[in-house]
Amino acid sequence: MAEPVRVSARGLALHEAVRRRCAELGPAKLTARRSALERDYRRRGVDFLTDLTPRYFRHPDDDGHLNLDPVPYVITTSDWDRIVRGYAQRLPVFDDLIRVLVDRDQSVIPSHIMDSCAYDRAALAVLTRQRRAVTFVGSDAMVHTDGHVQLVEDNPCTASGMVYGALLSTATRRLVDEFAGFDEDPVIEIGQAIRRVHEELCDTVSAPRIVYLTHGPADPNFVEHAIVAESAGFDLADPEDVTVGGDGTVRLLLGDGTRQVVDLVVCNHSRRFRLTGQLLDAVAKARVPVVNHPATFALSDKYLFGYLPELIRRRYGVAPLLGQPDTVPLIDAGDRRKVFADIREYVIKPRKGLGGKAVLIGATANDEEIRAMREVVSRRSHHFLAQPRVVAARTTSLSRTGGPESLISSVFDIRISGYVGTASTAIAEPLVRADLHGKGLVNVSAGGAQKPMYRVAGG
Amino acid sequence: MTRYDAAKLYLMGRHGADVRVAAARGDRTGCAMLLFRMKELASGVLPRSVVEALNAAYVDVADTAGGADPASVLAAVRAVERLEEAILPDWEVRARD
Repeated sequence: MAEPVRVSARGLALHEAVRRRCAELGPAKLTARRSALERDYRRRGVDFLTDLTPRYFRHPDDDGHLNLDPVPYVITTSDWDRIVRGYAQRLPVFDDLIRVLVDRDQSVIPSHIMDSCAYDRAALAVLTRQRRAVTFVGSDAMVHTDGHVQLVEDNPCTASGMVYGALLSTATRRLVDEFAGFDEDPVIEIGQAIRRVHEELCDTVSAPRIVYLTHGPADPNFVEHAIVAESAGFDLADPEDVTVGGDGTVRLLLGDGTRQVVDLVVCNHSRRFRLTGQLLDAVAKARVPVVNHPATFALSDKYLFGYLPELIRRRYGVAPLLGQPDTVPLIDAGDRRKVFADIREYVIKPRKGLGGKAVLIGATANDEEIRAMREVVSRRSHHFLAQPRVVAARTTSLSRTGGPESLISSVFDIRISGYVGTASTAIAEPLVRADLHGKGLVNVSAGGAQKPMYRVAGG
Repeated sequence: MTRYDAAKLYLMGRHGADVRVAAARGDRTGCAMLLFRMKELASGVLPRSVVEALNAAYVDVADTAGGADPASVLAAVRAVERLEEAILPDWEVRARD
C-alpha cells in the first residue's frame, strides 16, 4: 500500500539552509528584491482583486495589489513529484462526488448532511452525462511538522492560483541573481497541458474551438483567465458573445458578424450568468461539453471536503495519498460544545467562505474573537464547520512592517491547482502563501504574501 | 475575435490618438487615465506582451504624474505605437478570424 505523502527529512532540512542563506544576504537586500518584484508585478499588471465589486472594467482606484515574499520555499523534486501524484489521484474524484449528490448516495454522505447542502440536482444530473464535468480544482495544503502533507481545503472549479505560481517563478528568475539561467517558461508549459486535457474531452474534432468564459477585467481572477486562455489557445469570451441554438449548438459571435461553432465551453463561475440554462440544454442534447458549469460550484461546500477520502478509496481501492484533517460539522450542539471546549486545537470556517473571511484560528484568536465566533456559530450552526488544526511546519519569510524588516518564521500553505481530462492531468506550478502577521491566515485578502517554490534535485 | 473584442480594438484606437494629443500638451494625468483605459480594453484581447507594455507605460506615467520628467510620456507614446503595430498588420485577418 502506498504511504501517505510526506516531505522528506532532507526537504524539511532545506528550510534551515534557506534561512542561513537569507541571513547572509540580510533583510535590506531582500527588501530591495521584494520591491523589484512588486514593481515588476505592478508594471505587468499581475494582480488579484479582492473586493469582488461586480462590474466589467476596473477603476484606477481598484487595489489589486499582491504582497510578494522574495524568500522561496524550497522542496526536493521527489517530494514535489509525490505531492503531484497524490493530487492527480484526487482530481477525477470530484465527478464522483457529483454522482453521489445526484444519486443521493447515503453510503457516502449521510442524509442530514446531504439535506443541508444547496445544489441543483437536476442540473448536476445533466452534467454527469459528460465524460467529465469538473476539469479544474485548486486546493490548499499544509505541511505538518512531521512532514505529512495535509490538504485543508478544496476550491473546485474556481480558477485562482493556476498561473500565479508560474508568474512569480518567472519573475524571480528574471530579477534574482541566484535563480537566473532557467530557460523553460512554466506558463507556456502549463498552457499546453491544459489544452491537451480539454482536447481529450472533444476527441472527435482535430483542432477544437474551445471557449473560456470570463466576466471581464474586473473579475478578481481576470489575469488568470487571460493567461490561461492565451497559453492554452482558448477563445476568451464574454458570455454575451456566446449563443446556444435551439438544437443545442453553441456558437461564438465574431466581430465580423459571423458565428463559429464551439466544440467545448470552459466556464469559471465566480458569477452566474445568463447562459447557464442554455448551456445545460446544450449538454442535454449532447451537442457540446461544458465543463466547470456554475452548477458545479455546489462542490465548494466545505462540508463535502470530508467525503473525498472515501470516494478516493472507492475509485482506486486504496487510501488517499494526501492526508487531510477531519471535517466536523457544527450542526449538533454536542459537537459544538466539544470543539469550543478545546478551541485552541481547532480552526472554524464558514462552509462557503472564500479568501479566509470569517475564519477563526483557535490557536491565535483572542478571547473576544472566540466568544463572538461561538455566538455566530450557535445562531447559524449549519453555516460553519471545524477542522482540527494542522501543527504546521514553518518557513522563512521577510517581515512586512513598513520599517526596517527582519527574517521571520511563518506559517505557510501550498496552493496546488490542476486540470484533469480523461487521460491526462495538468498540475500547475505551485504557489506558496505565507502569513506575515502571526494570525495563521495566508490568504491574499488577509495580507498573506505569495512566495515562489523552488525544487532542488534529490529526495 | 468576438464582437466585443472588435469594439474594444476600436476604442483602443481612439484612445491611442487621444494619448498623443495629451502627450503633446504635457498632460500626464490625462495620459495616465487614457493608458489605464487602453490596457483594460487590451486585456484578454491582445497578446499578453502588448498588455504588459501598456500597463508598464500606465504605471510609469501615473507614478510621475506630478513631476517634470518627460521620459514617461514619451514611453507612453511608444507603447501606443507598439500597440498599433500589434493591431494593424493583421487587422483584416483578425476581423475574418
